[in-house]
Amino acid sequence: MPLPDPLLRFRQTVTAGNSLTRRLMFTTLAWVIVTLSTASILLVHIYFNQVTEEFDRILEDHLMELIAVTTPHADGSITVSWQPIFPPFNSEGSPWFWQIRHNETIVAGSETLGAINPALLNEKESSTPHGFVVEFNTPDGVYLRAMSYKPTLLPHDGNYHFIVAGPVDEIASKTDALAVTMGSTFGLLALGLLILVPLQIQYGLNPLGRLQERMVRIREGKSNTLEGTFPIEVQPLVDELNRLIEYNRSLVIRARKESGDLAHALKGPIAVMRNCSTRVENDALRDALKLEIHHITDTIEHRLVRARRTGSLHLLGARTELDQVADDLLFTMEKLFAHKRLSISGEGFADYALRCEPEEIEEILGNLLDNACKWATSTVAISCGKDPEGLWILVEDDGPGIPPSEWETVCTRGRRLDETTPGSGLGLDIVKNLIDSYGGALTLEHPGMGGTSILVRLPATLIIL
Amino acid sequence: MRILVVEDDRELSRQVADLFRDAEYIVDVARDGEEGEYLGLEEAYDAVVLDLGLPRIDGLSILRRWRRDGRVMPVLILSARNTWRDKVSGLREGADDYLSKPFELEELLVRIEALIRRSAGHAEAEIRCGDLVWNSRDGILTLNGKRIHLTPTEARMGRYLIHHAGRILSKGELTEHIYGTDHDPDSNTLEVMINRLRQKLGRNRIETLRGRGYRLVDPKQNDAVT
Repeated sequence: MPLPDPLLRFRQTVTAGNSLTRRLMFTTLAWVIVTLSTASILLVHIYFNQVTEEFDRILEDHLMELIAVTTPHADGSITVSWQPIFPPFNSEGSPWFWQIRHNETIVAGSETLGAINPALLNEKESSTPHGFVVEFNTPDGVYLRAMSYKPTLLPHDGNYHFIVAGPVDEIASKTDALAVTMGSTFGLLALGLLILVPLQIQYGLNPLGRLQERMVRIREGKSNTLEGTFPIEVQPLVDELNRLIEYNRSLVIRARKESGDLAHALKGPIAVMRNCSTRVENDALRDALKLEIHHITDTIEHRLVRARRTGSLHLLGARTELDQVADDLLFTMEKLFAHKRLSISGEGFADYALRCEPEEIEEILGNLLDNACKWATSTVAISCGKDPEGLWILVEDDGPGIPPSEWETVCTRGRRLDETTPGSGLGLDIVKNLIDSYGGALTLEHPGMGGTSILVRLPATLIIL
Repeated sequence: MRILVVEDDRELSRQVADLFRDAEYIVDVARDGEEGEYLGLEEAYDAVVLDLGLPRIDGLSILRRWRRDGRVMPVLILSARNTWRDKVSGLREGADDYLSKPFELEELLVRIEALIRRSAGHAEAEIRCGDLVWNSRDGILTLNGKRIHLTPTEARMGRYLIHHAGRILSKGELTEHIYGTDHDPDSNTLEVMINRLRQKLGRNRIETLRGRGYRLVDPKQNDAVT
């Protein structure tokens, strides 16, 4: 059964070699294991110490009680005026016991355990204010912890030795119980954290996902800046990206302005030279001058087009509303060709937006419409639509048309469709280059209106849905 | 007919001005945006040739100001900026035509004459007032098919009258469009010129409307009405 999408995406993210989620997952896992393990060991150790202290205090209390109720006699015998009532001291087989020895001979004691090797009781383990603590195994294999003390008893002091002991198991069982409880609690906590960590990571990385969405919107031309506010850790990155996008755009604007200024600086003097050349009386000289000026003009025009296009081809956030471009160009053609009283129509543009700068599409369609209007007898039509291959734009006129034999050469550099009509329209080669740069195509079609039909195809990837 | 050329390139503005003067137009030249804007606001022109990249005030701002202030004379933008964005912006701001540099002087003349003609409501290159015909392509006035030879000033007067045939033209308007601002409005040169035209075209073609001005009419149509 296939995994649901979010889980599949999560699995892919975690198994990817260079993944933030994986890094965070593993570091969190390591951190949780180390922290909880250390905490468990530390807490069990502290608890063990506390239980041991508590155990020793019980032993000491009983020891002090025994000493207090013991009266020594001159013959070495003793009278214990009060027997400890602590139940384990009185149960047969109980590992709890007390003893009073004189010259290491038992003179009194509980009957819970048999005689204990006195040598074991001489082992000093640690000292308390009133005696020594020692741990040892009984012959029955019971591990005990005992407190022994040799006090000075009045009025007949002798070599008296008081011992109270209890099973170490009592300390161990309490500590083990805590360790088990803590282990299961911490285990559940670790499990919970491991389940929550991916959610936490997903929540934490959400702003990056939003950032990606915004970037996609810019790439698709739906926006030209990263919109919205982001967490303070991400906002500086967003601000920098916005500055970068703006810088990119300013470069294009500057390139356009520079090319405009350069055009202004060069074309005025060229216009003067061109006008002067018409007054040269020597035909050969006049023709040579005109040809050279034409070459200069053509070269400058091509270079300026290139300069204007610097960086604008893949400008982030670029968007062209085709109906706006068509509306502007139809209005412009109506004015420029008002004297021809043409019927100029456009249809099908309202539904489409393209991921490119409006200036680029204006150059393509403007030049094609300009040529169509120059040649048209009465009608020019531009239409637009979409098919599986992408967007198509058809520019038609009812002029004399281009013979099919010239279709191949019509897009070569230096050749203009409007060679016989006045004006400074760009050649079709520039239009074709622009279209090529977007991965599109320009073809001449069999005319539907009797004149020229030029079909422009642009790839579907350029269309903003 | 009076034309304003707003162009900062000294040599180019001289060439353009000479082109129009040779075609019997009165030409004023402004070499910066400020002067151009002022002349366009204060004087009456039949057409304007406007550059966009001008010192002080750019061409689009000038055009915007003229249109905002109700100046409706036809404007042709003559600019080195030839992107379609530039053309769209210029025409959207109220220009009537756009010509990119470098250009053919002849084309500029043809386009300006077409603008003047269209702004006076004439679609064709031949403007008629009865059997009096002005052919704007070659600048020849014919009456009943016969060419009328005119002096440069008579030609300017005749052209202005036929462009505005049927409309009453005040002395001030005629003076401004035929002679420019240097002419003394109190002199009787205008009356002399009208009389000379009447002699060549026929006395009843140019009506005098006392206190109001002159009007070019088709006498046959007038006779038919009376």
